[in-house]
Order: sequence, then C-alpha cells, then structure tokens
Amino acid sequence: MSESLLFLIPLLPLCCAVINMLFGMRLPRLFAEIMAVTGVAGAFLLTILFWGYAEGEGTRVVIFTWLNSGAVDVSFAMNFDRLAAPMTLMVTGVATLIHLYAVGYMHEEEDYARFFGLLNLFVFAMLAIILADNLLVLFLGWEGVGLCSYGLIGFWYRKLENAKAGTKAFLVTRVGDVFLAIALLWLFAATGTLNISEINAQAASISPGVVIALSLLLLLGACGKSAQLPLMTWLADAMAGPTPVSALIHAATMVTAGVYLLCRLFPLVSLSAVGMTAITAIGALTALYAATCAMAQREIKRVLAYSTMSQVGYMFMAVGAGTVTGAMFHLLTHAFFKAVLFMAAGCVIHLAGDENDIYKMGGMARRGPVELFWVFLAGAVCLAGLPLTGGFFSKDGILLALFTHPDPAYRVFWLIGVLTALLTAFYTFRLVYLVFAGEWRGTGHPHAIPLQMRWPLWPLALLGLVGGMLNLPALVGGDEMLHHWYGDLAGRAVTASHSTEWMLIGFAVAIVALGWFAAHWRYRNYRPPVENRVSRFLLNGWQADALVDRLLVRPFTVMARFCSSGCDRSLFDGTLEGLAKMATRYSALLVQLATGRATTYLSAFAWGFLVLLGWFLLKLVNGGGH
Amino acid sequence: MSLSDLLAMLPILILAFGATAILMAGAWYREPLPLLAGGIVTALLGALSAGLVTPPVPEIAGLFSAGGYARFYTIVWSLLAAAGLMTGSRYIIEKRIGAGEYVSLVLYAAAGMALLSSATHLIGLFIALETFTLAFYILIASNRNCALAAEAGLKYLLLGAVATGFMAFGIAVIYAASGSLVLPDAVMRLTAETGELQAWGLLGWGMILIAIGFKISLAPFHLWTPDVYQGAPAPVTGLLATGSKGAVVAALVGLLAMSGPAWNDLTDLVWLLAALTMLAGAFGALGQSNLKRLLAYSSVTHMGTLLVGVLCQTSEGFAATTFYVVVYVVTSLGAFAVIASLADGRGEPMTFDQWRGLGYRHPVRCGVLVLLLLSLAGLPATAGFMAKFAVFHAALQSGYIGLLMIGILASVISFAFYLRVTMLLFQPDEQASSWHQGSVFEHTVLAVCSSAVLVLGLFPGLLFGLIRQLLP
Amino acid sequence: MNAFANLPQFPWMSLLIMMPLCGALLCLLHGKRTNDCRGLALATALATFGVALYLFVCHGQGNERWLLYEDVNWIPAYGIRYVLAMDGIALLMVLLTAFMQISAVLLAWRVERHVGSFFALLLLLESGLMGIFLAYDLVLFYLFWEVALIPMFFLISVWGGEQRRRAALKFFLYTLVGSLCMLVAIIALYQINGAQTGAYTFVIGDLLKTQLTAAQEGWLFAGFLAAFVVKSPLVPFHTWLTDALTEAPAAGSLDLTGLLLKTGIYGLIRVAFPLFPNATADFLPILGILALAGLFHAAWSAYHQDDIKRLLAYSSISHLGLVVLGLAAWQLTAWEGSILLMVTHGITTGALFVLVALIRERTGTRSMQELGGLWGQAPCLAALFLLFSLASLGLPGLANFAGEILVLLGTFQEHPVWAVVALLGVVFAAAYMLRLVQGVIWGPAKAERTLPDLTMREWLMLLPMAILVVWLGLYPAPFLAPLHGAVATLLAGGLP
Repeated sequence: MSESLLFLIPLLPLCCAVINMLFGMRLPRLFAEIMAVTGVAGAFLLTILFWGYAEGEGTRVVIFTWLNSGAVDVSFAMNFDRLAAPMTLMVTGVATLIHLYAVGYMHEEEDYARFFGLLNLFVFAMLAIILADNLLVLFLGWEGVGLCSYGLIGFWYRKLENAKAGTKAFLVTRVGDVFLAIALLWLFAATGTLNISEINAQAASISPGVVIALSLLLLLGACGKSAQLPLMTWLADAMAGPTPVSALIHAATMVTAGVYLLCRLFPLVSLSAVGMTAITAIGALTALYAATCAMAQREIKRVLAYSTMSQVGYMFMAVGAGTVTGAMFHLLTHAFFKAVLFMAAGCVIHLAGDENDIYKMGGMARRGPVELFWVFLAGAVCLAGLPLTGGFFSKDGILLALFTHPDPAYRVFWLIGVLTALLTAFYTFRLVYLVFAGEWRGTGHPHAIPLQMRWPLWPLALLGLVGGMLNLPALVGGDEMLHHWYGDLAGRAVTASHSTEWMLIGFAVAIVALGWFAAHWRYRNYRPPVENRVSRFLLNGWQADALVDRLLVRPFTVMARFCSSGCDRSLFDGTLEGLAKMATRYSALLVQLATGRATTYLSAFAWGFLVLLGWFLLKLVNGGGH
Repeated sequence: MSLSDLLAMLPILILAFGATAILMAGAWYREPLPLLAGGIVTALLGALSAGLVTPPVPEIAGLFSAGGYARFYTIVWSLLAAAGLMTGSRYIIEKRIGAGEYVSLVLYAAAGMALLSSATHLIGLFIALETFTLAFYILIASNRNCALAAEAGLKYLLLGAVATGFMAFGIAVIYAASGSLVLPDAVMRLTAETGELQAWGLLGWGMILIAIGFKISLAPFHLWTPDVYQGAPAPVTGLLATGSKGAVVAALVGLLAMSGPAWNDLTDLVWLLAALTMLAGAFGALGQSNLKRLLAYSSVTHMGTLLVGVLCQTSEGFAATTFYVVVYVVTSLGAFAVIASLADGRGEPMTFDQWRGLGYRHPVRCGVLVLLLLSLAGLPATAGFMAKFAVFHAALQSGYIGLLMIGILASVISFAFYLRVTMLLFQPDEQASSWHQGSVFEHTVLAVCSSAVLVLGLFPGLLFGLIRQLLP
Repeated sequence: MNAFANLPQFPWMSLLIMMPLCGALLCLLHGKRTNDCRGLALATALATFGVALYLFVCHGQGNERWLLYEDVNWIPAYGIRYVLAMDGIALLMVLLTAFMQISAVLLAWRVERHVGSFFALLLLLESGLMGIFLAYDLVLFYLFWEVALIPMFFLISVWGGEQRRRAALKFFLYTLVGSLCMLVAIIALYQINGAQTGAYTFVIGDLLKTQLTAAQEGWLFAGFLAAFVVKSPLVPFHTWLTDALTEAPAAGSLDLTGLLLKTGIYGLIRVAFPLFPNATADFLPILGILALAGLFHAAWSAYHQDDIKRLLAYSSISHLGLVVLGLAAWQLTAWEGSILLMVTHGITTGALFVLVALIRERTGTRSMQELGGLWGQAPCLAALFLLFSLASLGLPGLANFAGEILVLLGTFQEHPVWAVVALLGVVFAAAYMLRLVQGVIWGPAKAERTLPDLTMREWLMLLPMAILVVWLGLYPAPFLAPLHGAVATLLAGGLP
C-alpha cells in the first residue's frame, strides 16, 4: 500500500465522527453503532498494515497547507515513526474494545449519535497528537481531545453538575494549553520552524537558559492534560461522564498525552537538567498525592481516577529519569489494565444498580457473573504491581531507572516511588475487598449486563497480565523488545548490576505484599468507614478545590464585577452622563434668559452695549498709547 | 436719475411696483389666489430680470452697487419671496389674512433685502434695512386673531426701533468723524493718520455692529428670536429666519469687503460675538421642547458660524459665507415650509408632543424635514456639510483655531438636538393626530428645497464656481 | 489572469456602492408592499455579493498595489476627487460586507413595522460601508464614514429595544466627536500639503508625501486616531458599543459587530498609519498596551454579564483588542493574522448574534437566568450555537484560531511579553464563552417550553456561515493570498 494513504488512519475516525454528528439521529441505531466501531477498528487494522512505514526514520506525509504567511508555513502533515506507531496501535486497539463496550453500556441512551460522534472525534484528535508532524497540528489534537472530554464529561447535560464538571475540565486543561502555546510561540521564534523533528534537530543550538524555560513550559502544558500537580483538580470530577469515557479518555489515552508530548520533544527536554528534575519532582509528588487521596475515596470510579493520576506520575518520573522506554512501557501496560478496571467498574456499577459508593457494595463476587471478579482482579493485581504482571515490570523498570540515575538526588524520588507503590497496593486491595468480599450491603436492583460489555474485558485483562512481554528485562531472560524498537529515541539505557536489580525486585515484592496484608487485615471483614479530619482531608483531595477557589476563582469574579460595574457603569458611563447633565444645566440657564419680557431683552441690549463701550474705551487707551 | 440707473434698478422696480399694484388690487378684489399668483409671477420676473438684464452702470446713484454680487443676491431674494408666497398661500387663506397686504408686503420685503445686499452707501444701507424691517413688523402680526403673533410683532417693533436707533447713531458718528457716508472713502478718512481706525470711527462701527447683531440675532442681542419666531406665522417665520438675516449678512460681507484695514480693529470684537453666538444658540436649542423655538436657536448658532466665515476676511471666507448663506436660506426655509404645510384649523404643530409619531402619519414631509434638519446639522452628502466644511476650511486657513473648536463643540451639540427631533418624529405613538395634507404650492417648495439640499450637497462645485466669479 | 481581465475600465467599485443604494431607494418607494421589499432587498444583497465574489475570483491572487482604481474629478473648487481604490485588504472587507449583508437581510425577514424603511436603511448602510472600504479620497472617505452612521442610528432608535433612544444618541454623538476631530485634521493636512505642493488635493496617495513637523504630525495623527479609536472601539472608549449592540435590532447588531466595528481598524490600517508614519512609530507601544487592556477589561466584563447579547458585545471588544494588538506589533504575520481575524470574528460573532436573535424570538428572553437546556429543546440550534461559541473561543481547526495564532506568532517575534499576556486572555475567552454555553444550552430546561428548531430560512442564514467557519479554520490560504502584497506595501509606508 502506498505511504500516501497513511492519512487514512486519522481520517477514518474523523469521517465516522462527522457522519454520526450530522446524520446519526436519522440513521438506524445499529448502523450508527457499527460505523462508530468500524471507524476505529479500521484505523487499528490500517496501523498494523502500515507498520512497516514506521521503521527507520519513519514516514512523513504532507496533506495540504494550513497556514502560510511570511515566515509561517504550516501544513497538515503527519509523521508515522517508531515513537508514534506503538502508541497509535495501543490507542486504536483499546479504543476499539471500549467502543464495543460502549455499544452495550449505552444501549438505553437515546442520544447515541452525539456520544459515538464525540467518541470517534476523540480518537481522531488523539491520533492527531500522536501522528502530528508539527506542533500546530499537535496543538489542534491537544485542544481537540480537551473539547471531546468536555463534551463527554458533560454528556448527561441535564444535570448541571455534569456540565460544570465538563467546563472545569476544559478550563483547567486550557490553562495548561496556554503554557504549551507559549512554548510553541517561543520555539517558533527560536528555531523559525514548528516542525517537531526539525526542532529536535536544532534543540542543541538553542541557548541553555531558553531550553530550561521551554522545558518547564512544556512540563506545565503536559501537566494540564495529564492531571499532574498543580493542574490535577479536574480529573476526579471528570468521572461524572459515562464509564466508557472514563475508561478511554481519563485512563487509557488522553491523560497520557502529556507523557507522549514530553517523549516527543525528549531531545529538547533532556537538554536541561533542571527541567528533567522538575519533571521527576512533579511526577513523584503527584504519584504520592494521588495515592494518598485514593486511599480515602468512597466512589469506585474516583478511586480509579486518583490511581490513574498516580500512575501517570510514575510515567513522568520515568521521563524525568531519562528513559523514554520506561515511560512508554508503563503507558502501554497502564492503558490495558486501567481500561479493564474502569470497564469492570462500569459492570459493577450496573450490578449495584447505579450505586457508586463502595461502602454500599460488597459480595459482588457472588452477586454477578463470576468472570467479572477475575477480570477485575487481573486489572487490580497489575495496578498493585504483583510480580510477573505487566504493571510489575513497567513500574519496576521506572524504579530501577530512578535508583540508578547518576544524580543521587533521584534516590529521594525513588523512595517516594516505593512509598507510592506501597499505598497503591493497599488501596487497590481495599477496593477489591470492599467491592467483592463480604455480603451485599447495597439497596439498588442490578441491571443485566449485555454481552458487549463482558467479552471486551478479556483481551484487555490478558494484555495487562502479559504486557510485561513487551519489554521483558534481560534479567529474566527478556530481550527488551520495546527498548530496541525505539532505538535512538529510547533515551537513557538503564543498566545496573544483577545484584541491584534482584535487590530492587525483592524490595518491590515485599512492598506489594505488605500493602496487600495491610488491606487484608483491615478490610477482610467489612467495618464501616471512619469519619475523621484526615479522611475528610484526603477525600476532598487535600482541599485542592477550595484552595483554587480562594486563590483564583474568587479574585477573578471580583475583578469581573469591578470591570463591568465599577469601570464601565460607574466611571465611563458616569462621566458621559455627567457631561450630558452639565450641558442640559447650561441650556436651562440660557433658556431662562428668554423670559418673554421685552424689558429683559432690552437690558440684554444694554449689557451688550456696555461691553462694547468697555472694549471701545480699552481700544481708546491703547490707541492713545502711540 | 438717468435711464441707465433705472435699467440697473429694474429688478427692484419690478418688485416694488408689482407690490404696489397688488396692494391696490387687493383693496377691492378680495379673491386671494389670483393675487398670490400675481405676486409669485412678479417675484419670478424680478429674478429673471436680475438674471438676464446686464446693468449698464456699475453703481446706482452712488447708493447701491449693481455688480454681480448684488444681482446674485437680488435673484436669491426674489426667488425667496416667491417661495415665501407659495408657502403662505394656503396659510393666509385659512387664517383669513388679507391676501393683498400679505403679497405686497412680502414683495416689499424682498425689494428691501435686494437693496440691502447691494448697499454701498450708509444711507442706502439704512433705507434698505428699514424698508424690509417695516414690512416684517406688519407681516409678523398679520394674523390678527392670534395673541402670540401680536405680542411677537410688538417685541420685534420695540427692539427693532432700538436697533434702528443704534444704526442711525452709528452712521451719524461715522459721518461726524469722517465727513463722508460713502463707505470706502469714509473708512479711508477714518484711517487717514494712524493707519488704524480712529476712536469715533470705532464707536460708530461698534454701534452699527450692534444694530446688525440685533437683525441677525447675535448673542447677546438674540433673546427676541425664539419669541418672535414662535409667534409669527410659519411662512413669515421662514422669511424672517432666512431673508432678513441673509440679506444683512450679505450686506455685512459687502461692507467689510469695502472697509479694508478698518476691519482689523474690529476682529476681536467679532470673534467674541461669534463665539458667544454659537454657544448660546447651541445650548439654548438643547433645552427646547418646541420646534419653532428650537429652529430659532439653531438659526442663532448658524449666524455664529457665518460670522466665523465673515471674520476670516479672505476670499475663501467670503466664498464660504456666501455659500453658507444660500444653503442656510434654502434649508431653513424648507424646514419652516414643512411646519406651514402641516398647519390647519388648530394652528401649527409646535410642541414636541404634537410632533411625536408624526413620521408615520406624514412620512414624506417628515422625511423631508429629517433631511433638512440633518443638513442644518451638517451631515455629509447634504448641502449643510459642504457649507460647514467651507467655513471650517476658511477658519483654519486664517488660523482661528479657537473659534473652530467652539464651532465643533457647537455642531456636536446641534447634532444632539436635531437628532432628538428626528427620533421624536419616528417614535411610535398611537394618538398622534394627523394634520393637513398640504397644498400643491407647499409641496413644490418642499420638493425644490430638499432637492436643492441634495444637489448642493453632492455637487457644490456649481455654486462655488459662480460665487468665486462675483465676489466684491 | 482570465478572460474578463481586459476590461479594467468598468467601474466595478462604483457598482458595489451604487447597487445597494438603488436597492434602498426602490425599497423606500415600495414601502407599502412588504414582500416586494424583502425580495428586492435579498436580490440586491445577492447581486452585490455576486459582484464582490466575481472581483475576488478575478483579482484574489493579484499582488499589484491596486487591484482596481477609479478616479473622477468631483469638486474642483476644493480639489476633491471621487477616488476609489481596492487592494487585497479592501477586497476582503468588501467580500465580508457583501456576505454578511445577505444574512442581515434574511435575519430582518421577520421585521413587522415599516419593512420598506428597514430594508432601505440596511442597504444604505451596506453602500456606506462599501464606500468606507473603497474610498481613497479623504473627503469621500469622511462622507461615507458619516453616512454609514445615519442608517445605524435609525435602525437602533426606531426598531431597537427598551433603551433604544438613549443608546442611539450615545452611539451617534460618541462617534461623531471622533469624526469631527478627524475632519479638522483632514482639512489641516489638506492645507499643509497644498501650501507645500501648490496642488490642493485630498487623495491619500498624494498626501502621503506631505512634509510634516513632529508637532504637526502628532496633532493630525491624534485627530484621525480620535475617530478610529472610538469606532474600533478601544477601551476606555467602548461603552457606546455595549449599549448600541444590546439595544439594536438583530440585523443591526449583526452589521454593527460584523462590519461597522471593522471600519475603525480599517481606517487605522489604510489612512492613519500610512499618512503619519513617525507618529505611528511613537504611538505603537501605547496602542499595544491599550489593546491588551481592552482585551482583558472586556473579557472580565463579559464574564460578569447575564444578558447574553451584552456578553457577546464585550467578547467582540475583547477580540478586537487582539486584532489591534496584532497591528501594534507591526509585523507581517501579525498583520495578516489581524486582518484575517477581523474577517473570521465578523463571521463567528455575527453568527452568534443571529443565534441570540433566534433564541430571543423563541424564548422571549436573553437572560441566562431564564435560559438553559436548549440542547434538549432545539438540538440543531444548540449545536450551531456550540459550534460558533467554540470558534469564537479560538478552538484550533475553526476560523478564529487561524487568525489568532498568526497574530500571536507574529507578535511574539516583536514583543514576546505582549503575546504571552494576550495568551492568558485566551483562557479568559474560554471562561466566559463556556459560561455562556453552559448557561444557554446545557443544564436543565428552565421553563417547560417546546421550541421550534431551525426553519429553512434560518438554515440558509447559518449554514454558509458554519461552512465558512470550518473552511477558514482549515484552509484560509485563499483568503490570505490577496493580503500578502497589500500588507507588505502598508508596512513599508503605503507608497507603491
């Protein structure tokens, strides 16, 4: 197949999205659903077909010119290379399964056209980010995914809370986008191009100070989309959306866009030690923060949301530690098992009769179809990082990279990583126990779970479990496939003596076991939740929302009132009113002069004459002067 | 007085004798229409003769010039008289005003204006001024069964008498100082020794200025204007607002053209008058709730602006002034003609309450009124703009920036009150009563005025070209 | 070029000005027969658009200084000439005007009172705007400048909302003060130039060569600026706009925001900057600061509004702030971005005003307190509302982004700080636009009403705009092409 057909990969979902949005409601439901799924599935198959083009330097395809003015010359172009290909495959693959799941999940929703349209559009935007050849196209996708997540979080718009959550997500991520945009402008000013590969090529020639600033800006941009500190407040609320959306956008793909961005521009970012440290620090802090929050959450999906945040934190740490492979590896495995967890959670919520609170669940293992428990467990063990699961290998790789980093300061981050792993294991098994163990504590009546919602779970669960094969470390006889695939894009090669590796592995295993035992001891038999200041503090995500409200939102609204009422109404309009009043006052005075009495007029004459005489005398005096 | 003099005076004679004849006829023949027709014909004849017959002598008996400038204005005033008669035609019939008197008085007034515009001799000036002022005393009060009109007439008479006194005294002083009444050499002698005007001369000039100030209602001698305009019948107001003022300004321009250096000593006085007048008129109009009074004040503003043009004393200035006079005459007459054409048994629509929503009852005439008001305000594409443009141009050229700024302020304010009227006209109002449909004569006048406003606005070159030829 | 290029003599530009004028007169004459007026107005608008489109197709790619030039002696007494000149920028503005006018006419379809006069005024406005965009003689320019005010004044004062008279008077007087200052400056420049060359003329091209002292240049520039800044409008001279836009009838506010506002900026580009290069150079920094101040002030104020029309009015001011910022950067890309943004903003905000009018027609309110849940009641209407809102908050792939990013890219080259600050304003735009969307189409339906969705006529209005918004967002190249030459010339000082 000719390489010029590469653009079909993003185009297919786009076309299906447009068709669905324009005519979806007029098409028979089945057709709309099939089209939505095939759009994504087609992209998946095409990716496999075109795989060859990704090898070596990759393949560039220019579609048409977008903006052309002066030095600016940007076209819609895609670059299908070694970094993009696996990500594309993962996104399209996971998306296909989630679309299938969604068909079942939304089978009672009558506004299906908008849903599938947006879902397809999201896939397109995500692919635009992945395949972008220049930063402007990347930015297009970047904003596009934001838009779709906005539309899908607020999908059930009749509840204003959902709409508000969507708006919040859009705004917070847009704050991040601003920093990305600044970086974009600066890069153009510095290198005179927006083409990513050219920028990476010229990166070395940019002055170091600028590079530091740029990497920090890029980091902040990434934080917005990937819900890292300080722009993380939106993700937990984003769970208001339908579960497939949470699975696809807020677990598997969009939130990892930030990581991908940093990997894309890794040659630039890696030039500044400051930037790398900042990335690691942000990742570490977020990982810990999110893990602590996850421990106290009551809603099943919020637990998973915070765990996502924390896992993405790991990926940031990986980038910061200089290993692109590690980041992408964890990104891929995480995509699998987190998607599975969310979809299984969706089934659980169905069974619980739309009940979200895990304290009102329990006994799900016996209540629902038995495979549901196994699937969920598979996801859980990956998340907890049980040995030999995909999650274990990817997370372990990151910890190793941190540990072996030449800069000793990274040991601190490693410690945080380990601590987080402990917490992760704990809250994961807490979740499992509370949901599946014990007796049914809820009240709702279970919905039936259609077939489409069941079997997409299996492949994903499997992928999650065996995901380690992607990049099996040499230690256990693996060939580090992913690392070799990336080649020169892979960043720092992590090397350590076998003894250190064994030591670390043992340590990790111990940590996981510790977490499991803690959860086992605490939640084996159900005990009602404890309400204290700490739990409330963690439940509300360290009161981050209140903080943002006090620091940003309120000043903003006050300023708004000042500008609109204070300046415009009072100051500017007031001045004008004042002038008008003054004019009318003068006119009133003048009108009063016209009394209608002839005597007044005569006296006016007299005054006029007097003035004249005065002037005349003056003239006379002056005239006498010479 | 030789035959050639008479020939040179032909237009004036036509007007005067026509007036007398119609007065006689009116005495025992009471049918108004033929009299009006006769009057209109006479006026048109006067205009024709002024236009076609080239006078054999440049000056008539040393009193009046017969130059192109004078003849130009003779045509203008004769046409104005015709228009005034047409405007008044239906009005006087309804108000039972003797057609004979009305027609003849209008013609007399026209003759007076024509003479005034061509005066070169102080006595000539005085005579002409008195001629048409007398005619107006009667015209204003001609509507006998209206108290306001009588009051207006009386006021005009009183103040007019005072003004006449100033005029006469001023002339006397100048004569006493210079021993001559012919303007050029009077001025020459006054400025003989020092090259600048002697004290007495100044006093005389000042007094004449006061008299003129009354006639063209410069502040602070303008206070009579709103009362008189309101009281007088609309057609007469039309003539009063346009002709009587225009003629005086024309004369003033003529005098100044002749008075040469003497002028320089008066400039700052005139500057003051102009500034005062523009502001007084603008602010005065802002507070009005009666269209005729508003127009009165607006005329005051316009006189102020005209004075700016006069003040410049350059050929640009004179051209601008002359153009302005013509435009102002056409526009203002049209505005009063609209009022007159709406008048019926109840009288004329005056207060804003009466005007509210009239735009929907009488769309065409209110449309014309809007056009005329916008021209008075000086909106581009109407004649008013070109007039203002010319004056501003002249003022800037002569460096009267201060006056220019005051003029700008005044025109902003005047836009405010003109626009308030136009909004009033198209304000939805169910109980807006409809007024008279107007006669053919009135509609003709309106048509002529509005088209003139547009033509002069888009192609002012025609008039400018003419004016530049016949400047004194 | 093409087959028709061999008749440059034909007065296409005069045709552009005259056709709406004749249409207006005919509408006045047929004032009684409502349907005739509608048809007539629509036909005129379509014909004018046809001509504009033809010119765009013929000369859209040309890069010479003047694509078209007409010159007739008009008032010899003052050396005033009837000069029309069209460069790429003018071409674009003319095209926009003709396009928007069709929607305006369609939008005015429902007007009941005095239909004839309404359409007449609308068409008169169009011809005035065409004149402003094409005139190249200062007196002619001033004439159209003022003439365009009158129809808008009547549209507001007769067909407007509750506060219409106050708003109309404010609008007229506020802009009038500015234009009178410009008039004085025009005359002064005319005299200075005439005194130097002995040939008295108002043609901009000839006045470019005038030798001015710094003081003179400063004062004259200030005079022109007064007119253009008020019209643009830059904060703090903007309060007339919010009132006027809020009170004006739907078609009126469409033209006001879509076209009339652009005349101010256009005046800066075409008249003020080329005539007074040195004063401009000194003034640019202040202009940039003013633009930023306006951008933020308006964005904040917009966030505080409850009346959606007023909110959109403020959003217009905010966007125009960005346009002016681009001009202040004095850089090719930024300028092309600004001009493109003018066009796209005209379309998006215009479309939003149309939609607000439709919503008002259906629900009888413009207050966000009483609106909401529109998606459930009129999905197509809501979808278009969402589309144009997203376009106006600068979503990539839609029209406004193309302009904005060019402005920012260009501005960053010259003044990085300005660009960065302006970018923050972009978040603000998102804030108030999303608030608007949330208040209008999301949430529960406040009142249980069944709203009719878009009718055929409304589709006709909005669909072209929607298509254009996407087209301009993805492929603005054909609209940028005519700009390259013109902008380069203007940046070089306007002399050919």
